[in-house]
Amino acid sequence: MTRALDELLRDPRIWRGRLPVSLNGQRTGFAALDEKLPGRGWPAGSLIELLPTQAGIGELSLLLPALRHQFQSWVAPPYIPYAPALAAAGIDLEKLLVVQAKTPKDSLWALEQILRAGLSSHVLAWHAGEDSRVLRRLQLAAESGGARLFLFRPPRFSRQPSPAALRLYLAPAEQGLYLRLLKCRGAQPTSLILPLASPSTPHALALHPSSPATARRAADRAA
Amino acid sequence: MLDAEQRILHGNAMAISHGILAGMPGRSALAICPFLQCLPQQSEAESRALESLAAWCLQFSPRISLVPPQAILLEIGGSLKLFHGLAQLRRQIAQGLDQMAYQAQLGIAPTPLGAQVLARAGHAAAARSPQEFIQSLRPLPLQALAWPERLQERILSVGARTIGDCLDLPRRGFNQRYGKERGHQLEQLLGSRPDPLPTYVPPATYQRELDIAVPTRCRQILSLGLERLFLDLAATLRGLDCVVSQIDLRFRHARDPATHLILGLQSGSRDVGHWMSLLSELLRQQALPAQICAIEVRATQFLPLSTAQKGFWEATQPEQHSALLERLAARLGPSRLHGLASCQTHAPEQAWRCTEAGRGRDGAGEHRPRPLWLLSEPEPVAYSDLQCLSAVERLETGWWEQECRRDYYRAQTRQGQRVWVFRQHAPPRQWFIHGLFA
Repeated sequence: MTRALDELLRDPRIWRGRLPVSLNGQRTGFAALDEKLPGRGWPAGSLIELLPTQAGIGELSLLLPALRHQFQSWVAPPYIPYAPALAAAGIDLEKLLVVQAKTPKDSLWALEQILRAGLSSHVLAWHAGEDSRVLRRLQLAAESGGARLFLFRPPRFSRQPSPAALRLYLAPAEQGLYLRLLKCRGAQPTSLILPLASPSTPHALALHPSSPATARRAADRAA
Repeated sequence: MLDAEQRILHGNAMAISHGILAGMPGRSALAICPFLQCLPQQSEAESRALESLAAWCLQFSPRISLVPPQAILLEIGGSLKLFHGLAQLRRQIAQGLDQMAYQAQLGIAPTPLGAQVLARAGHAAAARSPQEFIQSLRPLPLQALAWPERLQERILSVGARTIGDCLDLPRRGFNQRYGKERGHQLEQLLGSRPDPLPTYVPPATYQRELDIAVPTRCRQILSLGLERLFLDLAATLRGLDCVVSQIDLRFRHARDPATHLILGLQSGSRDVGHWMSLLSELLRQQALPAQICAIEVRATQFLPLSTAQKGFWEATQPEQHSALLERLAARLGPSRLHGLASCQTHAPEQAWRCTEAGRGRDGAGEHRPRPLWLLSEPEPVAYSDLQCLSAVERLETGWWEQECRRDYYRAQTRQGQRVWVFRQHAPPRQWFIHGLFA
């Protein structure tokens, strides 16, 4: 009986709160954020959902430290990923693949193929669909391929349940990026502000001491 | 099958069981068996098939000679070790021929003519030593030499019925009576006279057509037909130690123009299983306007296996990476996946370009502050919405291009977006958003 139960509980799809989860985290490059995450970084083989209020608030800069020197695929980016800026940020362009499918259905198919092949360790994707079954499929595909899937979705989905291992709501803050952990497997939901450097200077890694008014306003908007 | 004079050339097992014999006039054969199906001989197609078979045989031996219309000679002495002995080699050849639905009679002998004679006589056992060879050669009938019938009759009339009898005749008299060449042929048969043969050199392109007896749209039938052609192509490539990077497929319809498909391969390949999986993706998407009566497979560029160029992605796990990229390209279209490269130029639009997937690179020398997102079309914006954060950076294109002069700033919008904006130098001096500092 207990063995059967243990086996059942080992299923990666079952999540139990308040358990020491062994997550093979990869440093995010922001010490303040690493501290809040159970694996001390971006969890491996999982779906990480990012819900930015809009584009251009620092949503890519958040990922850049983790993306350096990694094999990565960008599926259905909303704008042109600008090669000179990526190269300047330390991303190996040789290891980057961009996929722009004709339809959302095709990009989901491509996304699943890339994840299951397990050849790019980091996958960035933009998807505006509503179907939560799609997310479950992607989570399973990311697990089977051992890849980190950063899925960008519109902020209106922040209230919906999601199978993602980590969900982050992103909003602009004065001189930084406001982050709210909507869901975090193995840790408590929380919020923080990361100081994002301007593109010409290197990233600062300290936690912002006070939360400015803009962040509070953004949090109120999200709630 | 009928020859040019409407005589039976040969029949299948069923026809033979009904008493149809080779050499019989077609009309008499029809009288014996009224539902006999007679097909004319297609010598051109036969010689083409023989050549394709020869190309296929290159995987077993580097030295091959064609003896039209019926025989292919392989020098297998040097291949025995590679194929773990004669029995294994024989089995592989027989299996391959069977897979391609060919029937063949194998003959193995120390001399090329000898092998032909043994094959013609249906002598299956291999003659490996000269003594063994002469022993198996002697009792064979004269017909196995495939000399003209009149000559055979003349030799028969002196009482020589087998090849052994022929060999026993005094050679000088034989030469005087039947011609010097025949005597030489006997010597070549035994190996006492050299028998130089031209070596078959296969063409470095591939083109085959397969007729489909009943025109169809069924993708399964098409796949089966294509698999047969692919196997043939792969064997040809193996023989030449080459790979292909592109295969052209043409589906011929009775009336409509042919449907053309391209099977693009990231790195050169000769893996039929992989081709078939790509093909199924291609076929699933391709609308077929009409029923298909013939398939053509063409590969024009054979690449040497060793120098097939490899991108960075392929270097780590070559097959898997290129297999993934090919699978994606087959369904989405090759233009839908790409790499990125940066270039050394001031014009922001020209400072990046798409490259082939997996071949991106950083070509810019210095790095200035640039946004991670670039808008494909600059978006007009009101100046009142912006708060500039940086000093101006003026970018100008050369006078030889379409002249444009822009002042770029980093700015923040009221909504908190960090943007890269520019102001046109020429009136009306409008402001545009060109990128996002994401």
